[in-house]
Amino acid sequence: MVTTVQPIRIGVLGTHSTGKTMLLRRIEMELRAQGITVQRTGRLGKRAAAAGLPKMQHHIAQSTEWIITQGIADEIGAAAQGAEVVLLDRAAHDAIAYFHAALEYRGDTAPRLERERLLTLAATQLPKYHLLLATVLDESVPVETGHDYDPRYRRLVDHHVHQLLDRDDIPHLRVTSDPDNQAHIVEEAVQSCLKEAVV
Amino acid sequence: MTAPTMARRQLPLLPPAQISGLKPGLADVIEYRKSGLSVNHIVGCPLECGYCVRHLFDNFSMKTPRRLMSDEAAVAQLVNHPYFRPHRTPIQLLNRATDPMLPQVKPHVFAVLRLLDQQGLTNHVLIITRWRVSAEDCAVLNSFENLRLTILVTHSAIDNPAIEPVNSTIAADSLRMLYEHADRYKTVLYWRPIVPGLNDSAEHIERARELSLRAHATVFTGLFFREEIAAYYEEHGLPMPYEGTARRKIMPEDAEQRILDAFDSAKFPGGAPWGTLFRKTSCGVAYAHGEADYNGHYGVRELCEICPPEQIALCAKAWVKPDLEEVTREARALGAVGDVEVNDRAIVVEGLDEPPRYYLQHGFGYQCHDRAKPHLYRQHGRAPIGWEAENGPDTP
Repeated sequence: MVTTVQPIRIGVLGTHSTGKTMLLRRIEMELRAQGITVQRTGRLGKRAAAAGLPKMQHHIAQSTEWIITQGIADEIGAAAQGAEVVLLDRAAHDAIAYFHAALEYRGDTAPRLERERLLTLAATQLPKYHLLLATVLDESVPVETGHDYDPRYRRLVDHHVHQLLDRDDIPHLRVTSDPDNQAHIVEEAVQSCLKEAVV
Repeated sequence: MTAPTMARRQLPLLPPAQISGLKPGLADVIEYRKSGLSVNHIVGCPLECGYCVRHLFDNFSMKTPRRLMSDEAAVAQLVNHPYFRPHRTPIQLLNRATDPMLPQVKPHVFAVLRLLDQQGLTNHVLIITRWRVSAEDCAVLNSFENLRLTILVTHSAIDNPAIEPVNSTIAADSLRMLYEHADRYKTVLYWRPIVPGLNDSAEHIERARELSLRAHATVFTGLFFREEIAAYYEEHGLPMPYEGTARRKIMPEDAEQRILDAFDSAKFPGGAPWGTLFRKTSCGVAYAHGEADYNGHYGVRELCEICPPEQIALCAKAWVKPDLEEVTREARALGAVGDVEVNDRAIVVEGLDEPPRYYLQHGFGYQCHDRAKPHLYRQHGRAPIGWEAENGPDTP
């Protein structure tokens, strides 16, 4: 039975291959082990590409908007399924950071109005998040083989993620590559859900 | 993590319509397996271990545990099962489709144990987990007066989170907790699945050896790599450990030898060469309880070469070749066809599925093999993948 009117939403953001999905999978396992119903969203980047939109360093305003809105739709859909906790892989500001990083990477700019419109769109989601988790890039951790990432772009995304969060004082937890830190974050997320969920 | 010890709410029963949608094997709550009559009245698991046997039941996507029936009904089915023998038949709890120590599942495990213990049953009961065990749990596990209880802690230390999303430190912590608090129960390090390239490095082996010092016994085994599991690996882009699939577990000879060498070279002064390391689950469990193996593995003598000498002596003493006439009578009653044979290693029958064969095996404490599925020399219970053929007696 869903006893909370709204689900608890936990979002993650951070540059690629920094353990976001694994972090959410671990939170998901812990919550389900407690009998809490969980839905996890994801694969937004791949789906955007499949929809014909440029991604990564080629990110444009349209792909940013698509990813944010698709993420919102996914979250609403997951909540409608009756999930008590929705894990968002990824939170709306993530797309903004990728966009800003892509602009900087290309030495490009976007109209101020366009940037502000997208930022406002992402900001509309902030009140919905119970918890935001932001991974921190550690370049000493080897990247999964098979991914051909541009290291400069990857660094830029990391920079923009944390700049956005810090500039606007958006409450979040930093997730480092340290396994103890990750375990602590998982515990914090799970305990906060258990506290929130009405038994 | 200090997870709450109380479940949030009672585990719901799966509606009958959904039970009928399960694979028949999964809906069948009692199953006779090699390590005993297995009770599986709860299905569904959030732990997404890539090699889980739930793939074989098309059940991997069911992430939330659900009950198929009440604990009382499951216990009744067990003790009324035609193959159940009080005080003799080994029992396994929830070893097929969930983890018994999940917060929501655990109260049901304790309830089943209590119901069995209250009947004065002294059967072996095996519980296999990889999840958290608290000091409070240990107190409950110590409270049973009659059952011979063993908690086996699965620890793979596979670092690839796509295959092993559950951090292996959870299992390591559970093992230490169990060992530290063990009073009436025993705990076994279940070091598995060992997969070449994933968790058989010298560091992995050393970690397991250190952990084995926090267990009453250690059992190491390979990987079940059947078609369904291979398909999952392929679908998720996971590294394929083997080219082929097999009915039995795969444990390559090279990996086994390196494990034995590592354990041997680190032995305690005066200790057994390989410490308390065993190839077979029941051998480790029996050793932990100071008993002879209830599966009669002593008949497959090459398995015993790594066992502590006092355990070999114990198994040798208990191992008695059964009377052919008696075996034949029982086998025929179960439906055996063709010749029934009792050789120096095993009873050999034809036309009997695994459950009646295990019934004979546990009854006589003597291996029971199917003539159609011979156990070749040095390949008892394992797939031929990774093993060189060697000269040895053709064994049934």
